Amino acid sequence: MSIARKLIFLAVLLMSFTDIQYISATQTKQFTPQKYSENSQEPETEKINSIFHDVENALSSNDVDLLTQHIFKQVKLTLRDAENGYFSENQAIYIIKNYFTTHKVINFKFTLSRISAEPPFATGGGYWNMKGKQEKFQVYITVTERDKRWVLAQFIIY
Amino acid sequence: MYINITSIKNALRNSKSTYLILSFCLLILAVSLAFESIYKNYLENNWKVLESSYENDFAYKIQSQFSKYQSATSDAIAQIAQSPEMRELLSGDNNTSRSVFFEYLLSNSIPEITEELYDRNKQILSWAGNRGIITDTSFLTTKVNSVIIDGAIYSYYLISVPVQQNDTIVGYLVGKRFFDVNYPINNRFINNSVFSSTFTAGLDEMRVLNYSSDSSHQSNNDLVSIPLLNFTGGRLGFVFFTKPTLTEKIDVLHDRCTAVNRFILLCIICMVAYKFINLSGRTAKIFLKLIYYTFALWFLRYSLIWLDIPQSIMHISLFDANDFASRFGYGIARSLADLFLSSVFLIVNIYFIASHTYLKRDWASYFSSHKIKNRFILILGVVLFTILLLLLIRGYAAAIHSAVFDSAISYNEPTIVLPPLKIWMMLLSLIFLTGSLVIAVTCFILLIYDIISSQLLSKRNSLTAWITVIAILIIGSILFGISQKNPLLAQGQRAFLILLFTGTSLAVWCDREKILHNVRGNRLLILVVVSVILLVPLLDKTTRNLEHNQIELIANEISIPVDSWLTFLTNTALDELSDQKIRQVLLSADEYEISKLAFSGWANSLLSKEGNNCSVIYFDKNGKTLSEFNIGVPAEKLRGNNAGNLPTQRSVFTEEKPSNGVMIKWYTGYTPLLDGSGSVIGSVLVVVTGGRKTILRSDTPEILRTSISGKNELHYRALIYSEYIDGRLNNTNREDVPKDKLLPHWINEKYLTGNGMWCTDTIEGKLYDTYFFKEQKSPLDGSWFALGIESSNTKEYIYSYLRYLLLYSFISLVIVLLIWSIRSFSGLHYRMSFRGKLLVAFIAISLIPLVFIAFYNRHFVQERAMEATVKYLSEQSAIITSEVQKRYQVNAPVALEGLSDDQCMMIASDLNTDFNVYSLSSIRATSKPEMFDAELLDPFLSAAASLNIIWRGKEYFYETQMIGNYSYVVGYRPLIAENGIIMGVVSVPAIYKQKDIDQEIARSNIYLYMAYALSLGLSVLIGLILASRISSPIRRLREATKRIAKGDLDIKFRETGEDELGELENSFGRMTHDLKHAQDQMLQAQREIAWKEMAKQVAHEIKNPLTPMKLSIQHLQQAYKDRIKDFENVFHQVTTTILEQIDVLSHIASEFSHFARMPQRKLEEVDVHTVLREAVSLFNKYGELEFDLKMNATYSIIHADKEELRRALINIIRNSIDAMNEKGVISISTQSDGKRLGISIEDRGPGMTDESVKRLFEPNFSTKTSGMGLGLTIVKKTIDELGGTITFSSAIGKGTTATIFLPLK
Repeated sequence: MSIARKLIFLAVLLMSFTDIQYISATQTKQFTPQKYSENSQEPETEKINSIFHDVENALSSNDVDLLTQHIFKQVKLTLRDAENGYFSENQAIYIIKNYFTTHKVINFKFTLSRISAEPPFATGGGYWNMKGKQEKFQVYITVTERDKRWVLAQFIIY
Repeated sequence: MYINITSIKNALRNSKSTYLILSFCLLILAVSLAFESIYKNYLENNWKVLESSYENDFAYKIQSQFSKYQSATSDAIAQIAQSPEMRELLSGDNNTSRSVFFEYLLSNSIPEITEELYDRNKQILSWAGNRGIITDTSFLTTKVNSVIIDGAIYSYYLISVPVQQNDTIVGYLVGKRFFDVNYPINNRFINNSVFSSTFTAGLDEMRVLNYSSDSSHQSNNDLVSIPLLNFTGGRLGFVFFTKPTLTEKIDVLHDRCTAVNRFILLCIICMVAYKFINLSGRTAKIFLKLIYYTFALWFLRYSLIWLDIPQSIMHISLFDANDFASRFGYGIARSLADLFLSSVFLIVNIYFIASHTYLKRDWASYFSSHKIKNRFILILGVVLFTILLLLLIRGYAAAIHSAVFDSAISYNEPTIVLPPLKIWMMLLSLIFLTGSLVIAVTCFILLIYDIISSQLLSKRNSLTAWITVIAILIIGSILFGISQKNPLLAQGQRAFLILLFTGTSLAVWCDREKILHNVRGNRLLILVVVSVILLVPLLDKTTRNLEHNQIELIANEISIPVDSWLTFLTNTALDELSDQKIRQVLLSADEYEISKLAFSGWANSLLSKEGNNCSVIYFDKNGKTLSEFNIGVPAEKLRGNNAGNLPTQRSVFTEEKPSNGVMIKWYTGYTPLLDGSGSVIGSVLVVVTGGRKTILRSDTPEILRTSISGKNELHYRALIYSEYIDGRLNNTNREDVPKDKLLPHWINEKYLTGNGMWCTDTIEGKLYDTYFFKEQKSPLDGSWFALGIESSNTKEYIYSYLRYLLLYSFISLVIVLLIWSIRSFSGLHYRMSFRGKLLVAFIAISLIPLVFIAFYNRHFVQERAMEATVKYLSEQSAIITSEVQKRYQVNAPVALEGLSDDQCMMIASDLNTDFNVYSLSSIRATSKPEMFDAELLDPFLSAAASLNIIWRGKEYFYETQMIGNYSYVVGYRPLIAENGIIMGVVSVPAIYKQKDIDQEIARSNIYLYMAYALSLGLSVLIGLILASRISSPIRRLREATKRIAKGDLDIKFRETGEDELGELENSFGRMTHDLKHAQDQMLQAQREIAWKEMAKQVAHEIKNPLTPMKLSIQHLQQAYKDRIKDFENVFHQVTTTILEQIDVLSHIASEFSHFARMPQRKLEEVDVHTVLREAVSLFNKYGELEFDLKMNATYSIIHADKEELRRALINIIRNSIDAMNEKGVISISTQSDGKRLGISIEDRGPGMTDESVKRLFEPNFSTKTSGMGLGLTIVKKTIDELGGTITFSSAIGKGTTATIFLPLK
């Protein structure tokens, strides 16, 4: 292979690799929630309901990704017997994933939600299995608007 | 001693061993999987039997631990109780002063155990330590007795030992220990795992234990209870633990087997990775070498991630995401430890690539010898590499941003002198990342430079090439910045980085081109220094950005109404405070338990986690207060509002009330408590207040916070909160802000709806970075809010930099020592130059006293802080004592009885200092009642304070006390009645002023750090200069010795000192001069001899053809005289002979001319492969010859005269051809090791004897019938002058091989 081809091949390979990493690392990541419509015509209530629906499904089916997709930039976490405070998107995703590895949810349902409240919130409860022991838990979440989209602002488990 | 890894390496290289090890690993894996399956079946089939066995086994272990605990406590107390001094004291008359008892106990205090001494009538005489709750004296019996008592926060284990004198009990000594923490608290002061950790320490199984005085939990089938028995077999209480479940055991089995499986897989993966690394070492092609090595490293790294190693083996907090986590790289930075591992892999990889390209080889020559004609491809290459370089810089900026914003690490915590492990780990990771970036970018810049200078420019000009490189990078940087939506770096910052990297590349280039002597061989040092210079300001800037981000977050919280959240909080708290357990306590009628109900309810509810100012009050069915707990809500206000006004049904409502001129919202919840039959047994009221100031920092003391919170608090920098209405200051949380301060006039002009604004505000001459914002729901009214933080001044900036530099210097030293140790143990020798050793010695000598000074200073700073604290406490306690007596006329014990908590709170608010007032033994009133409700502070006056203030009559006393693991200072002053009698004690604990103390320590540390860094910097600088100057004569001598070894005796030292080294240099110079003179004479003599020999040889050789010539002419003359018939033939023969001999003479003359000639050499870069091919091509159609060419060397450029080299090679090839009679195969091959090029020319001729081989290079020696025997002599001369070597090896019948080694350029 000639020198020129080697150079081009190497450069393209490195660029592709760097590009992939760049896309995943950039701070202005334009995330697209899996089940969340970006249609700006959609009423705000539908968007908020969609988030509540995703969180409920995430907890009841132990599919944490449905929940973490609605975390953007920063979120306040209060987890029973664990972390408490503001965490960045990256940290929060890992903290929540690790938390639900040890706390296996058996069932969960939101019992109350107020979209008209400031900020909109939802609360509910369920049961989980923690080290072989079944326990009751309660969840409280609020959402807020950031960069023209609705995201999780607060996630409390007590 | 060194570790013999060679044999391990050899084993792995051996394929057979590899397959054996691999098979063994797979076998273990199969066994592990089978074992898990079999054992799981065994557990499932025998669970009923095994379950009770596990329970009994664990119960037995716990009971044994408790026995040891009891015995240890009992022995410690008995030792004092049974001492003769104790007996004598208690046997003495009743006039013995109590101070004597205090002194005795204080001098015999036992760590972690409170001692209480009672007389024979069970009256308390003295104590030592925190008394906590009052001891029920009914348990003091004639024999050793123990009991466990529950408090609101702690449970205590008490042991009573009677003191006997002559079989008569003269007193009792009670030992009291914390047994359990009943409060779900886990912060830097108290850890709630006290009980669990005490009794499970050293056990294989970790299980959460809970203590209870009763067996009510026995109704829960999931719990196992074990009775705890005292010495007499009486029951002290119960320990509960969850029953081991089958699922749990299977999970444990699965975890352990998975750990084994992971380890096996890791071994297999390591073997595969090692194979690839080995392959990389064996291949000569650079491209493949780098690919194999890179693949091996990252295959291993991602395998570790996939296998979850080492976090599945080491369960430490460094693998948790709460310190740091990033989704970059698909998991390579999902925790702090992962980031560290990945950064190590990265720098190893980058260094490997660089060391095989730019740090060792000369790509400029590579490029110049491989010209690319297509300029478009070259320009495209330059553009691509520039873009890659800029992307790398951006990626690095993103990494630093992530290191700050995705972590909870406080980088700029000046109160900590030596950072904790997680900061070390993060700093190390960042320095590795920075080092990787610097190496990679430097290589890219050098690559771009080489492409431009050797390929694009028509004439090679370094200055033009560098200017072009800088221009391309700057322009590229500007365009890159414009094209980015979120560039992370400002244009100026990026330009600075570009220039910094270009400077680094220039320095490395100078080293490579040997332009500057002083930087020679210091490429790595340059890269390390640049890494440190680059990282520190970037990290510092990003950390300051984070502070601004946090302030904006707090501002956002303040500006958004939180009605729904506080309403929800109130509702939830109400539910938690009215649950079944609370009702049971109310029904139990236990006065003590009921009195603590409010606090324990608060502690176990969401209220304590959130830390809002709140109040919890329990009433009986008649509305009388049973229990109360308040944080930040004055009880008077509550009582005023609620007494007699309680609703009859559950309700939650909000009301707004003024407080100190500010409207505060009160979220009130109330619910009646009913028994099983629906009758009211009491009620609970909860009040939560919502105020903006409380968002900044609630009144809940840090010690009462139930968990470690995230990065909400800016530890050492005070935050100023201000409210402005119609342009004027309305409210602020800082007293030093003037009340007439105005809102900056331009704020309204620049306001954009919904956005806050940053500006620099001046308050009392100090600069503050202030964020101005409005409430979201009312952006158009005249109110503004501001959050300000003191601007960093120059001192703080310098401190930040110096602190990092100090830390990095320390890290670098540790890394160097580590590398040295590894190399020493591996049998490799780490060569350090004399200058390096001198430098290390100078730095070590400077550092040792610096370390001592640092330790002393640290101790000094702590002492000074302690002195300042003590002085402060002394002053404050004096002011408070005076104020208490003046304001409330507390001049007699009766008046002291009437002093209330609210009165204390008012004084504390005015004086900004919290305090406690004790009667002669116990707490009377306090400005922080919640601390006593929570049993964090002892309600009894400490023994030392009692002794010194009350019994010894001191005016002031201070001591250090402990809460959990946290120590703090308390100052005491007596409260003296009008008649001069001491009626009480005022105490001022420093625990509430910890932040101020931390700030003071921070300020002291700033100055100290600057001093240390300056000292270290000066030491290094002076050390460098001195080491350089002292070692320069040695370096000059070394260079001179090298030149002498090469034969150059023309040595002159320009400057020599006047010391011993100077004398040595002079002597050396004289010696070389004499040697040169002797050498010249010897050479002259040798030349003369050689010429004489040559002349003899010439004469001899010339004579040979002259003789037949003379004879032939004589024969011709005779034939002509004799007029022989055959004259024509004779004439022809004679002329032929004469002509032949003339040819011989001519040949002799040419040979000698070549030998004697001193040619004008034309040294240039010569590709040996090209010369060989050209030489071989001359003989391509020569007889029946074949040439087998194997050009294995990847690099074959040397510095030589091309023609001379060609002649030498042709000579050798021709000798081979002659030996093989012009038929057969001649093998010519090359190889290189990066330093030398080896050429091998092998023929399959008849071979030579050893004797012949030895004489090959002698002039006139030849194995051929023709020739002068000078060919190989000339060849050797040529090779020697090129700095190479030539050897011949031969065997009769097998042929001859010529082996040449030449130094590569």
